[in-house]
Amino acid sequence: MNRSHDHTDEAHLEDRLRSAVEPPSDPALAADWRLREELRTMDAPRLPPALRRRILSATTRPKSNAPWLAAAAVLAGLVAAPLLWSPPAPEAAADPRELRIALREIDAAGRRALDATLASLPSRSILPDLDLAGLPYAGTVRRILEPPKPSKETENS
Amino acid sequence: MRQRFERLVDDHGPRLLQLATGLLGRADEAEDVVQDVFIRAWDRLDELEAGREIAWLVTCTRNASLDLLRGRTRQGALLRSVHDARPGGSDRTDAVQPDDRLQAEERARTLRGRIRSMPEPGRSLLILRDLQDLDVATVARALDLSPNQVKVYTHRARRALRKELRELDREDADEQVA
Repeated sequence: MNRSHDHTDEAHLEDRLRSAVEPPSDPALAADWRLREELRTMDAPRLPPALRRRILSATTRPKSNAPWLAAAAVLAGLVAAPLLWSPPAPEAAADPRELRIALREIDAAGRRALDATLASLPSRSILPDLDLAGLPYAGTVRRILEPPKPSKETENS
Repeated sequence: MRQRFERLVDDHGPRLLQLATGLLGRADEAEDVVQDVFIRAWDRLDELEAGREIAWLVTCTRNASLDLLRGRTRQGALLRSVHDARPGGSDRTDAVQPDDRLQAEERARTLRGRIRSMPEPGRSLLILRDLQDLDVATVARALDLSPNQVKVYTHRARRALRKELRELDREDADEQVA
């Protein structure tokens, strides 16, 4: 109650002070009035021309870029979505030339291994009946492993 | 639209700059705040009621300035001296200026410094009501206070300022005697 009363008094004093054209008779209020007059008549600042130019140049762009930004975001989403959701692309095939060189190397290494194996076998060994059809290079393996058939000319002589 | 905006800059720019400078104490930061506020005002000009933009401008300027102040306080930086408050101000004094003008400038610096050191909302109220003579309704809208609160808090802030100035004068007098 008292606090509310104080508020009313202070608001009333403020009204009196602001409506007075000369210092009020109350000494405290007169001192307030003089201070307020002093503050009121202090030099008001000017807006520096450079700041005014900066403000005006910074606001020469379109009022709001929001619709354009939204459109750009939608377009970017449309482009990015298929890329994100599509299955991963198969890895690119190796260079065909490299592939050929690798196969040739495997072939040569295989031949060298067979040569070494044959050299270590007794010359009249009886080779087991091998099913070579399912192996890679089956023809080559058979040609090497199977003993050479005597030609007719040799048989006749 | 453009004319309306330029009129806002010319009519209220000085007022906003005075408020920001009064709160921050630094002309360069105050100018940046005012520039940002006007850029935001330009973006929202359609939403601002013509003729009543000042409350919004004051609110934005005050909030931005207080945010800067809070950030500065968090960083532990000290507030700049009263001399920095003057745009382009420096400690240099002009020897050919008359004494009364020097005294008036010194007094103005003291007042600005004392106002700046006051707590909110008294500080903003003294700037807006006493220095700028803004009407009660506009200030109430800008600071989110009732008109009665604006009157009461302004009255108290002015009394507090007067008390501080009186103590300052007493200290000066004591120094002269000593």
